Amino acid sequence: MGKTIGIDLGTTNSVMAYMTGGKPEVIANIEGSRLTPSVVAVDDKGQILVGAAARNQAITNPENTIYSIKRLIGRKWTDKEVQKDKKLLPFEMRKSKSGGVEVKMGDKWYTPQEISA
Amino acid sequence: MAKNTNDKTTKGRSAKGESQISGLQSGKSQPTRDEMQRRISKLEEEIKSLALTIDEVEDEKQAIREQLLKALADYDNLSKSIDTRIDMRLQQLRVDLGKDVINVMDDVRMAENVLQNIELTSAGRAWAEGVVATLKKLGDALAKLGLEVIPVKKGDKFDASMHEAIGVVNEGADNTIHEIIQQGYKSNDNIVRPAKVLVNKANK
Repeated sequence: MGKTIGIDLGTTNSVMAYMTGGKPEVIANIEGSRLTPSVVAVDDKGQILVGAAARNQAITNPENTIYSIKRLIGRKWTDKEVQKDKKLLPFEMRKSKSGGVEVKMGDKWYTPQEISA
Repeated sequence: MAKNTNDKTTKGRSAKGESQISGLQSGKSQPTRDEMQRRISKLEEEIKSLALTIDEVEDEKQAIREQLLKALADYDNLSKSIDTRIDMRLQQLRVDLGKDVINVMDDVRMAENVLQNIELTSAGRAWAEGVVATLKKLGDALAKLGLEVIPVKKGDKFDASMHEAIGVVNEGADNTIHEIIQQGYKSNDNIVRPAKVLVNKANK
């Protein structure tokens, strides 16, 4: 029987854990860290970067580095918070067909849920 | 005498006959066919019952054997899992302690840089340089903890897995290191702290 993991999908960092022996055990990511920055990016070669690597290059590639995406999940394009964030966030945003939000990373558009996944 | 013998025989026969008769009358001495049949049936049932019991015991034995094998396998897995988790915890402890030492080393380096530019008496300078040299020995502790400096120099290609860009400069070859602001450290190929760097970016 497989294990069930719990994910704390935070605005800035994410954490994953599973239960063992009645206690939660945090899972380290591939870099050996128990915290994973909630950042996703695509570099100039089209490679998707996630976590610390995405965060580390954010300043060199702001238009294609997506962060704080959790703030946009479930919101409508017309929400005051979305319009405020649109002015502050360096990546492109637009209204989706359903009236929600889409963000641009590389040459593709994604929903906040897709970025979080 | 014969008469006596005959009497005895007769008596014996008579006694035997009486016994048979009395046996026949009570049903104890010679089992009848029906009784034999009943006894055989009863024995057959007992044999069947015993056979069932043997089957149950065999099934139970097999179940216990499977449980034992599973328990042994679980124990083996648990043992390996514990070893792995202990190694991970030790590595985490080394990294956590190493981070504290790294912070001290950063301050020592800054102090060393400042030392070059301040005026001190010769005794004061000797003391200060001695203190810095002593503190730099903490660097040996980092090696013991399995931490090593991430090798990076000006002009290297920027690598987001090891370097953190803290600023961009519009000169030099695109996406190369312009300046190293703070050393990075790694432990067993895991990045403990990325090197903080300025990156050359050509204007678009």
